[in-house]
Amino acid sequence: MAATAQSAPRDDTHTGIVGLAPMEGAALADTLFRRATLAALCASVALLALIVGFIVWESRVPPAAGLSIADFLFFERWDPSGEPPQFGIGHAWAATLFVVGLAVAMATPLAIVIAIFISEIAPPAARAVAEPTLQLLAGIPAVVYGFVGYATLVPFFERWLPTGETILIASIVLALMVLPFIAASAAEAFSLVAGDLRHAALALGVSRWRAFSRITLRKAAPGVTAGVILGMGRGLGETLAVLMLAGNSPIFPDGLFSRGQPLTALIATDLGESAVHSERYYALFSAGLLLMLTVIAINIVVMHVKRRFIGAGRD
Amino acid sequence: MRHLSRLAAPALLALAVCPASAQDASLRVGGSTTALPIISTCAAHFMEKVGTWDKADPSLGKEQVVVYVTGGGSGFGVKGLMNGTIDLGMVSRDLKESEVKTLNQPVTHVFARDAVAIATSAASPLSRAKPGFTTAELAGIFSGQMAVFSHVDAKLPAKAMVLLTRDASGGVTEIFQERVMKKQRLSAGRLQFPSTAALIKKLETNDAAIAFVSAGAVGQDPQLRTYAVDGVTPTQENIVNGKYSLNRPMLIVSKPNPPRRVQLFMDYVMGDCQATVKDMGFVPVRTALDKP
Repeated sequence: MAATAQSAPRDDTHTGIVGLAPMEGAALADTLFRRATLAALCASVALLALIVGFIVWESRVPPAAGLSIADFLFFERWDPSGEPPQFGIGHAWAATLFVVGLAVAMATPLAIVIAIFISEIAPPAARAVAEPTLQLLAGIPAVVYGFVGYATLVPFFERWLPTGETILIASIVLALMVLPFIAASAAEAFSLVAGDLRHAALALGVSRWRAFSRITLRKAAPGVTAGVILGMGRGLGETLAVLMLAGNSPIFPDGLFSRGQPLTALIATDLGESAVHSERYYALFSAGLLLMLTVIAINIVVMHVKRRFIGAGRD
Repeated sequence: MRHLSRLAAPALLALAVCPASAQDASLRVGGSTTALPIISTCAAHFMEKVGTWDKADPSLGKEQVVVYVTGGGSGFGVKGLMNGTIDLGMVSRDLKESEVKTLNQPVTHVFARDAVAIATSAASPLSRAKPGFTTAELAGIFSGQMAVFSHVDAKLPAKAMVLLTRDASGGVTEIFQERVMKKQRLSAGRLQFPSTAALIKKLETNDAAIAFVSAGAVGQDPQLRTYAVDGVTPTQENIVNGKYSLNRPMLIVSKPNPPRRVQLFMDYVMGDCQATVKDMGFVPVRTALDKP
């Protein structure tokens, strides 16, 4: 007994000494880890800043001498290998806005219905399937969407049209691509609406639809809007699918069955052929700058709307 | 790619020059990016086949064969040769008189032809109606002025034609603009394809489509047909002897009296490499090697 009693404190001091060493080690590891994460953060922020800076640095608006800003943005054609070369990106802006606008318009109602199902109607089992499915949809690479559209919709529409590649088809496929983002944001917004409000309404004998439309939908509207804007931002930046499906024709789109070349497709198509610091190069970088500014502006709006929404949700 | 590769060229050259100074056994080739894929594939085959220089020619040392191939554009193919940055230049056009003078009687070989064929699907309405087009007709079609089949031939339906082209990086677009369109602009309604393979796939399946496309790539595709231009059909013979006008030579150029190693590689390009020329969709200049 005495031996064990004696050995116990010795053991304690022993573990104490050993315990001290790991503590010092832990402190060192902590510091290292803190520094390393900070360095990683700084590096990635710096990299982002460098990219943005480079695009700004390499842009010239307007890109060519004798080309007015209005001509560059709206009126001039894009024909860099013609004589004389022309550097107008109006057709690409029009195609981008047309395709993205149409895609979001098609995706939003469907996304809201999906979100209602997930957050309001679905039993837990169905929800457990639906939510990961949406996430999977969001994770499918753009080229796969583009290819599937190219192999199915294009030949289908070619039964009636000269070419299947049209603004309409690009929009349909883009709608599928932005759908998961809008639906997920909307579902999140619906489920964030305070339960007590809804429960109070239901306790008062209001129908489920009325409780949803008068309380949940109104409360969640800013969140849903943020989702729609987020989807728009995703759509604006999408390249490959729209390049494959819109025909990549540098024409001003004039209808659903017209072809077009969205900004991203224009940049992807032409940059490889642009001599560094040529007018064409500046034109494409300026197009990239405008696209980047648009997407940044959209993200700022989303953040703003979300902040307001979360603030309102806490009231 | 042709021009962007200027960015890459200095970096690649830095790589190329460093080992070159260490051992003089390496060859440096640079220039036209249209020729780049052919020559770099040939270079890889050459290095694999020969191994060390003494195997190609016993008078040479036992050093490893190393061939560096970089882009930079046809202009660089000439300039680099002048200032000694490269041993061999790739040029996808005829040399200018001034260039021949500065290089002082360079050794030039046309190792391939890059030709443009006018093609439609075999089932196209044009296939029955037209054996070929004049340059003026082609300019009318591809500028969009002759937008429907009946504009080309009154017997044909008034159905819209679909114009397919490579995107701007295709060398064929350059030739077509220069020889056919001249001052006219290509129709903005054309569909632009990122690769020749994608364009051909579309051409095979869309009977309303018409395209100008690399002649080597259309080849013997039974689903397609090609057309004569100004009465000359794009056969290999007509392309090589220059009767078929929509084509340009692809040259490999060295300074006068090239060193033995340079000569050996040039011989290889003109010999075994001709099969690669054909595989890559260009027109080989040696008919004898047509059948592998």
